[in-house]
Formats: sequence, C-alpha cells, structure tokens
Amino acid sequence: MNVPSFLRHPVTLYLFGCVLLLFSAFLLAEHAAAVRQFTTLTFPLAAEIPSLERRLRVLEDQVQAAELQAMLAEAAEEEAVRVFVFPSDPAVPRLVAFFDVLRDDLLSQRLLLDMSELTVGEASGVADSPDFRRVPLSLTARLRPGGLERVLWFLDHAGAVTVADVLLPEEIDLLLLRAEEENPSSIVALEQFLSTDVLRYVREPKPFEEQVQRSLVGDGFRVAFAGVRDGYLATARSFLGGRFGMALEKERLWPLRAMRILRSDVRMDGDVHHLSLDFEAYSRAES
Amino acid sequence: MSSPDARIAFPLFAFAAALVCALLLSRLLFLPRLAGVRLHGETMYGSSLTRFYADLRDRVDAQEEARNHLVLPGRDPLSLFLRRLRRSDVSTALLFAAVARGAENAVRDRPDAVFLESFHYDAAGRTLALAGDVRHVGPRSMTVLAEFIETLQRIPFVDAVEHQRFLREEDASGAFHSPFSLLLRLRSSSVLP
Repeated sequence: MNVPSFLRHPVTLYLFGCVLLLFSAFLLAEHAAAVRQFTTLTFPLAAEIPSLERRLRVLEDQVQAAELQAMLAEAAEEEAVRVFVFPSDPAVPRLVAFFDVLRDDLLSQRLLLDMSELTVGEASGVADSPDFRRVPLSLTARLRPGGLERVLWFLDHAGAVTVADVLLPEEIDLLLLRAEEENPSSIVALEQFLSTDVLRYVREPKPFEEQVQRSLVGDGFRVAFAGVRDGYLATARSFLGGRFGMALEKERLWPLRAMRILRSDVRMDGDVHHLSLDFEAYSRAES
Repeated sequence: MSSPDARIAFPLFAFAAALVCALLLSRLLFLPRLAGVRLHGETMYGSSLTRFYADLRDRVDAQEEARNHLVLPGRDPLSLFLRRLRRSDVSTALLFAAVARGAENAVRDRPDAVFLESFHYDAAGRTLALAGDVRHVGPRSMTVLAEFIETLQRIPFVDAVEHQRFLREEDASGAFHSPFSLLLRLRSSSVLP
C-alpha cells in the first residue's frame, strides 16, 4: 500500500500519536464519569426500584381495602363531631358540666384543692375560618401533682372521638408501617381499631386490642402495638376510664367541644400547682 | 527544538491508536451495559431512569397519603379543621411533662437539684417562659444549669432556648445556687395527636 511520504514522517506520526492520546484521555474521562454515575446514581436507584414497586402494590391493595371500611365507619363519627365537637350553639353548658364532673373527680382523688368557676366571654368569629366561632374561657385551680397533667390532657384532647385521636401521629405511622410490612390486607383491622370510639375502648380495651392482634400476629407489629398500648393509650385509659369515664358517658359529656389553650401559667408552691388558664372553645357559625 | 526521533514517533502513534481502538470498543460495547438498567423489558439510562424513579416515588407517596387519609378517621371539613387546630399548637401536657422530667433527671440521685418555680405558656407567641433555681449541688450549680438547658434543647418541640447570663450566688447560709429565667421558643407540634 502506498502511504504518502509525509504521513510516514516522524513529526506527523508524533503529532497523530499526541492527538490520539488526547482523544483517549477524553474517552477515559467518559468511562470514569459512567462508572461514577453507575455507583452513585444508577445502582442505588436500580436497587431501590423493586422494593418501591412492591410497596406501591401493597399500598394500592390497602387503599382498596380501606376505602370500603372507611365508607362504613364515617357516618357515625361525622355526626359526633358535628353535634358535640363543633355544635351550632356557642353556649357552653356542656363544658361547664364537664368541668364540674372533672372537679368532683379530682377532689375525690385528692388531686385538687380548689377550682374556680368557668369564666365565659363573648363569642366572636375566627379570623381565617369564617365557618367557625370561638368563645373565650378561663379558670384557675390549685392542684396536687398529677392533677395538672389531667386538666391539661383533657384540654389537649378536646374533640377527640376515636382511638386515633388520642395517639401521636408518630405512633400511628409506626403501626401503619408495621402492618404494611406484615400483612397488607390487615389494614382493615387496624383501621377499625383506630376508628373505635375512644370512650368505648377505655371502658373495655381487651376485645378491641385482641381483634387487631388476631389480624396482625408478627413480632414487629406486636412490639409496636405493645408500645402504643402502654404509652399514650395507657394515659387515655387512666384518665378517661373508671368512674370518671362512666360519668362522662352517663351525662353525655364526651366528646368534648373543640378547645385550644391560649395561655397557661403554672406557679409551684411546695407540692401545690397554681394553674391559671385562658382558652377558647369553638362552634360552627350559623349560616 | 529538535524533531522527534522515528524510534519514539512510531511506537507512540501505535500505542495511542491501540488505546483509542480499545476505548472505542469499550464505549460501544461495555458502557451501555454499565449505564443502563433493564426494567420491564426496557433498558433505561441515566435521565430516563431518574424520571422513572421520581414518578414511582410520587405514586408511592400519593398512595401512602391516600391510605393514611382513609385509615385515619375524620375526613369531613369539621374534623380536618379540628386536626389543623390541634396540630398548630404544642401539647402543653407533654411539654410540661418533658420539662419537669428534664429537671428531675438533671442530676443523678438529686431530683430536687433543679427547682422549677413557674411556667408561662403563650400559644400566640409560641413560647414557654420558665423560672427556677439550681440548688443543693454546691459550686457545680452553673454546670448543672448548662446541662439542664442542653436537655431542654433536645425536647422535640423546642426550637431554641434563650437565656440571660448564668449566675452563681450564695445564700445566707453560704450555699451556692443559680437562679434562672429561660425562654423556650417552640416549633409546630409534631407530637400532638
């Protein structure tokens, strides 16, 4: 083959060699970038995709199962919220009666020295929510240790209707996660448990707990459920159970009207807590 | 500059040519396998794989939200308003309990070392003002107070703890104590049911 002489010249070969070396450096950099992309992006994403797809299928099944159950459970709870939690009348006779029952209960347990009458202010509108009205309230009390927690717990949980309402969001998330890992179809049992009327639950917790535990028997769920049952649910059972809970049920004082603490002052005097509370109760605005 | 020697020029050219050929072959045959992932019978590369992953993630999040929405009772506007109302504030019962626990555990075997005199919770200002005194720990009272403040900062719904300068005073009997006045700035509740 006849190769032109200038191509065989050492200078030309040298220059071509240098150009090819530069080109190979570019190709090597491209390889390095591809390997880096594989290790930092492609591989982690590819490894996560199968588990995400499995999770998506599980969640789709759970949504289907939960939709049916939700339709059945909804009506009764909505009614309780409409009638008791956000009544149409801003007057507060039920709240006054509740604090009377609470006062008697705390006195009987020697957790209260004295509690003022509820001071009720004028109802007014809620600035950013025209469908609601608020009534300012205040009270003072002298409490023994243990009494303060109870009073504040009831204000924090005003409006609670179901078991889910007295759990922390983190606890609910944990139960859902464990149920999802174990048996996706068991979401219905968990949904039923979370939708249980909290007053019915605290009166006789065992049947409700056993029902959900029959559907979810794995260790992960069992441990999570035990933690929830012995955590904030135990507080709810302690504060809402017994004779006090029965009195609330008998007088139809539960669920409580929706309330929000605006200001609370606590001053310690030995083992006596002087509590001064400003809070407000909500109602629906009448159209 | 002298011209390159033929003994260097040709090997350099041959080596560079061979290297380029090998890298080109690798680029055509090896890199596509490394950069792509086969999913559902289709090979996906960098950006399309990222898009597929993001889309899948969005669908999982949407289904999770729908599931939680269905599982948690109360989907009517009243219940949603109630939930918004309750989550806008910190649970005072939990907050007071966490602060009292922090004070009790500030010094091992000495639960009365941090004495809490008063709490003042203000929902509008999202603050909790605390006043008290560190006692019965001798000259360590300022150290104990600093540790107590660190404990308060670890409470999940406490955003920041503001305090004036630390003091160590002597009472009439010559015992050291550190009175304090703290302002806890609170964040939105993540722990209120």
